[in-house]
Amino acid sequence: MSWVPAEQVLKTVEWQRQVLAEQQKRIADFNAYHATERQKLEAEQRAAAHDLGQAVLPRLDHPTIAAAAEAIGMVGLPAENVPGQVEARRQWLAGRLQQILTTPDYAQRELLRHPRTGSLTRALAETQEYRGLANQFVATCEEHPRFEQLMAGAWGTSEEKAAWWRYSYWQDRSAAAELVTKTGKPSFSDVRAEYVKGKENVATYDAEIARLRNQIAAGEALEREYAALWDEHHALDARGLEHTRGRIVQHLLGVDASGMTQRLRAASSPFLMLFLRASGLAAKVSYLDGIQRSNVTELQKDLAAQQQKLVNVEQKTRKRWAPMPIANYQKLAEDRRPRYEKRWQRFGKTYQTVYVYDRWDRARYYDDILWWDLMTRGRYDGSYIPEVHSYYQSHPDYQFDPDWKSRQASYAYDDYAPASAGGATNDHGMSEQGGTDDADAAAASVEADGADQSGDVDASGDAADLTSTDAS
Amino acid sequence: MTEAEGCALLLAKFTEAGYAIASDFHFHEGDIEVDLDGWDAKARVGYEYITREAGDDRQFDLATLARFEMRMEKGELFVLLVDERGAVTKEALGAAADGFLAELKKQREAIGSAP
Repeated sequence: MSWVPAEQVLKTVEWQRQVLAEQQKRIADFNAYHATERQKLEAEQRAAAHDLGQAVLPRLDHPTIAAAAEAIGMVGLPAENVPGQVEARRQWLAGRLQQILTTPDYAQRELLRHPRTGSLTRALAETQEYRGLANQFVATCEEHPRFEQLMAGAWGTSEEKAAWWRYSYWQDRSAAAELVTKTGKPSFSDVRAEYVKGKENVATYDAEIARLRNQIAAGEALEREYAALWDEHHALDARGLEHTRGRIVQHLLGVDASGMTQRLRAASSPFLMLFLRASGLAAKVSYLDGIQRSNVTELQKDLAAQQQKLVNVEQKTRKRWAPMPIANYQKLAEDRRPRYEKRWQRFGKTYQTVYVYDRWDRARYYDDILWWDLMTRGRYDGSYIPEVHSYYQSHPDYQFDPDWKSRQASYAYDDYAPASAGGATNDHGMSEQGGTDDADAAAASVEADGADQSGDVDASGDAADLTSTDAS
Repeated sequence: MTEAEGCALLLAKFTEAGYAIASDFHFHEGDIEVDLDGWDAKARVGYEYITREAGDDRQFDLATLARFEMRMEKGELFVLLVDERGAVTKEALGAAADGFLAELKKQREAIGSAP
């Protein structure tokens, strides 16, 4: 049997560690990349949600709300009488604002709480000053390390019972003498009396300071309340509209995308494309999170196992300084970089395919919508992503048909087309652009197929090559 | 200041005041049995440095201390009890010893039994 010397084994261990470190760096770079891209997508998602809400509910009046509720199936919304609630809130705000205006604490705010001239502000400053003076004697006493004991032992009173044969008695006596000298009082009894009086005064001032602070705080709270309510009152309609739009978008994105698409499609709703864009973007964000999490977790696990193996080999080799059988060494020295590279390639392709997808309108050709399949044309297994997995679970008979063109050809619905658009489909610029898109997509598919022997195809021809740039 | 240093200082002070101090005296009278750091049997004057390290706090438990001090209140004996738990300084102990000896002298003179 051939053997490899310990020195060479340790060198190889070191080299393998560098390989692992490179992978860790790659993971960190990718995590940073994902975080940045995610922020961009979130902004896009917010814009899509905003556009959708604005389109579904342009105004906050009864007819508009009724129309919106009918279009999206939010049947309970009209009965909530949102305009009525807004009006009632407006009344309440007006009343409360008026009430605050006439409250002395608010009406006389300058007089009371002006930072320099306010009566409460000045009273507080004066009381704090008097408290400081009263506390001077108290602080002088309390600074002495033995003062507390002298007070507790009733030193300087008839109740004092310290025995003169105890060392502590003489210590107390010295301390009392020091305090008498320091305070300039005739005896410790006088020190005690002055201290007790001082404490009482400080307590009185503290109570007054607390009272003044509470009064100032209550007034300031009233000012804040007035400012907040005034803002609300002046922006009430906009806020009510925004809030209701938020609820509508939440409803739209919360229900099953297939059902909502069918509903909007059947009604030739102008909201269909906006809904698909918002729905698709929301799915994209969660898919990318899932892809990133899954890949990083898997890779981290693998790297940790490799790291442990290297630790074991190093410990064993250093302990006995023994050579390693050539067969074991060959395993140790195996270059794992191509394997990691392949993994990054595979994962990067999936990530990028999902990332670049923006053909939201294609979903309207399908009755069952799983964005994952639309984005990847059903070519990548996404069951490791929770949302995809749960879709498969809840739709056991689901099968994806990648031939969207045939579906487009047999599409039996009339998309919304306003008269001003001359009969063309108005989908906010998101739908397929006739043959041009098809040609581009076909070209991209051919190109991607040619570059990828495994048969993976990017969803779009303009996909940046994430895999070759280390996700950075 | 350690107990040994404190005892040396007290021995010097008490000796200077005219007391014939025997160090580490085993005191046993009636129901009191303790070891005193310094004791003049004739003058019935002494001192005790009550430290935990030396186990004095076990000998001078609360009950023993109460019996001991009761006899001092009756004027039967006078022992300076260094009862401080905190750090004892040379100056403070010296001042306490001087105070104790002056007070003792005053009391003895009052009853005509100064050493």
